[in-house]
Amino acid sequence: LSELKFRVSKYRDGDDTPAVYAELSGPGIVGSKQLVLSAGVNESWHTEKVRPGQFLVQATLPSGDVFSREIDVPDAEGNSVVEVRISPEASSYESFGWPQLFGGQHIHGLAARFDPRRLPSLGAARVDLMFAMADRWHVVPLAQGPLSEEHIRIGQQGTVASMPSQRYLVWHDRNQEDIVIRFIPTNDSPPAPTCEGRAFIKVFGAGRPKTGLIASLPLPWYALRENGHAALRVDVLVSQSGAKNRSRINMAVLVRDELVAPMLGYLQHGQLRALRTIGDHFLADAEQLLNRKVVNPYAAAVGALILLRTGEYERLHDWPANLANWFPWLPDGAVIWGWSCLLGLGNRTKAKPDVTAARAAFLEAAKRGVPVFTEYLRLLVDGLKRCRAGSNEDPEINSALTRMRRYAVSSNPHLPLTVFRGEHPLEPK
Amino acid sequence: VTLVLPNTGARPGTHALIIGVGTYPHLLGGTLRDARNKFGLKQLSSPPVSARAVADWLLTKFNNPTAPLASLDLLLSEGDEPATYRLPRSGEPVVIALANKSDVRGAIRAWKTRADSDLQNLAVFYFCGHAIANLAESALLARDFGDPSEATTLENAIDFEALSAVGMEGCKARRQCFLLDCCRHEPRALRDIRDMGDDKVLEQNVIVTYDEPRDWTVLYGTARDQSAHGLAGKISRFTAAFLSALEGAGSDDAAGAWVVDTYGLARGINGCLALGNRRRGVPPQLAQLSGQDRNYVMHVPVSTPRVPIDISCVPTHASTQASLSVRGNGSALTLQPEEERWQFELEVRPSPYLLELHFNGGRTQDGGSLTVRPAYREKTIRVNL
Repeated sequence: LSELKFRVSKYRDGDDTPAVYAELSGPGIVGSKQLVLSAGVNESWHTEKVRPGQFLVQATLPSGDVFSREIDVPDAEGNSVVEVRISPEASSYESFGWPQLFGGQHIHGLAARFDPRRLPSLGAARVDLMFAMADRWHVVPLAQGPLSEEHIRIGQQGTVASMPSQRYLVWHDRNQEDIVIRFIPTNDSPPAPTCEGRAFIKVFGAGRPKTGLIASLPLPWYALRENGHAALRVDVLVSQSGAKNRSRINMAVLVRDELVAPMLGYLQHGQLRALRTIGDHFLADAEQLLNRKVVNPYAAAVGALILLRTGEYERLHDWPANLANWFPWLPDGAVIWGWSCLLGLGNRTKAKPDVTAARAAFLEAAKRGVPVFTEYLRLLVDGLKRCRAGSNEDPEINSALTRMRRYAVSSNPHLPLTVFRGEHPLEPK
Repeated sequence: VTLVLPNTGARPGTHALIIGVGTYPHLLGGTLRDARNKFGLKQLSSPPVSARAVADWLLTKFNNPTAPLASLDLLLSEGDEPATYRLPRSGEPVVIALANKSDVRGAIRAWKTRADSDLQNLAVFYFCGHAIANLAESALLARDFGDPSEATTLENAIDFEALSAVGMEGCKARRQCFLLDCCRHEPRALRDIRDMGDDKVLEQNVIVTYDEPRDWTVLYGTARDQSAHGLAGKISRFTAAFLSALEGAGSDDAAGAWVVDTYGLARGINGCLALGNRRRGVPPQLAQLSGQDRNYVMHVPVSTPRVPIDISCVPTHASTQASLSVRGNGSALTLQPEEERWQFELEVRPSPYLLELHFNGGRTQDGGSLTVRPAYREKTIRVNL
């Protein structure tokens, strides 16, 4: 047997190596073999033992783009090694290397729905962090200027499971066309102001502070490591495109998680086979996280969403209930719990839809605010409609549905993490 | 209701409802009183053609051994009078019901009743026409959408989520596939509208439960707030990609035999659309997948599937001067040069092939090899002119 070694070479800023799904076909393989490769610059090789012959590897990026390579493995004496490097084109901007891998409006030029007339130049735009603490909203303006650094501690109130607050270096770079804000976890930064509660980021025009683009920040974001867990970086990209008086502004939140980010990309692009394959790797990690009650609720919400979409209900275990109960500030957890009730997964005995429990869960989700993930916003609207079924005279449901529909029509449908136009996290426009 | 294939009674079986709405009398260019709010929507010529193509394909090529085609209902809005559809095998003409709201509602209810006969049934719903949407919801517009005599703007529209996510949960058929070939524009005017069309086409208070969870696949022809495209009078891009995926682009032989399952179908559709997006003058379009789906077999090709491939030359004009021969899998075919050609487009069976360019004067150039597998392949040949 010979060795076929694969790697996906994709230059980006950062040394993380997101997972990429690939299929290998050729002699000795029935149909195709499913592989999970790593994408990056210094990533390790993935090795497969094969017989000599003609092979085809088709790597599907989370963006939906497919890169194929044909490989001839010679009939050599002894073991031969054939190295296959799959090289998607590089992004012209370093900051866009990661979103290019995962697709979305920055790359494909899909029209954003936001009219940025209030933002004639991103160079003059203001960026605020907004968070609720002790029933009051606090605003932390991020310093203006081409390049600045700040420190901030972000945590969550009311968290039952272990999810410590985390200090971040907020790295903030901008020019006339782009703003890049990086939340870089750090343990050795100076004392910093603490945001307790859901954090949002808002970009708006200087002098006209009312309406802008608002995104929910999934912070802190933890990933499992062999010796515990580690906080990961989260980026916010704001870009402007088009002619001056018809320009558009886009904002995207990018999570630098090697498994969750690709899964969101594959989910968005309908690549469910890839999603399920990579999801198996992720779920093994996620189940460990949950067993340790060291929880990244955002990642768990993505995992639960994938199990829901791929119908793997048995693997949902107690996730939906735990997500809903352990993180009382997270709407997405209440949404998945509501759907579990509707699907009759609410308890381990005979499945029966529990519309009453679902109604309570969806109302609770709406009370918590706009979901972190766009797909959960869609599921929340669907769930509220489902609970309204049979009776249009449920004022609580109707009120919640009206509120969530306002977010729905104000949000950018092309992004996995919710971004909407509004004045305030509670005021979509 | 126009059953072009009356219920055969096969249990389990596949029950299809195909709707193509091109003529909208109350929208721009229509022949009846204008709608109060037309949302900028015009007459369409592609939907009836696309719906006919899907009906033809299901009646002649669909092969699902565990759920053979058991019934097919077709509704068309194509001009002012009911259209005629010729059965593809016999040529027998069938007058097709219009796709007014009452027709669509009746057809959906009858389709659900037919599909209710067995847990293992497969229910297929295809709609091609206008739709409007917000993030979470879509309203499918029936032929008489916008009739000013109706009380509300979306009176003659169908709330798709109420149909698919809620109403069909109560259907015994545990495998359901919904294909929406329509734009998903999100007009600002919708912000003030409380509903997204008729949400009572099917019973919404679903309290029945079945032992089997429901696998329901939703394939939207385009992403949210985007257009679905088609040339006037031709099959739409999404429907062409759907049929191409069924013919092979969506197939997979993971277990040794070729099948088209729902995961492969989505990949094949988007593969075909992605291939088209790179062609000159083709507006970008990608399908979107929704629903909840454990992956089930939709179609088992009777013969080896065919996979779309694009071969382009650099410089591009070489493909107007050279013919391309494709040899492999025990066959050889040649594509002649054509004016205005930007690439060679063909469909071949999965296999390794050898490519060769032939120029006038007898000169040839080796184009290398190409191993073809679903969903698609593309290759660029650098030509020495």
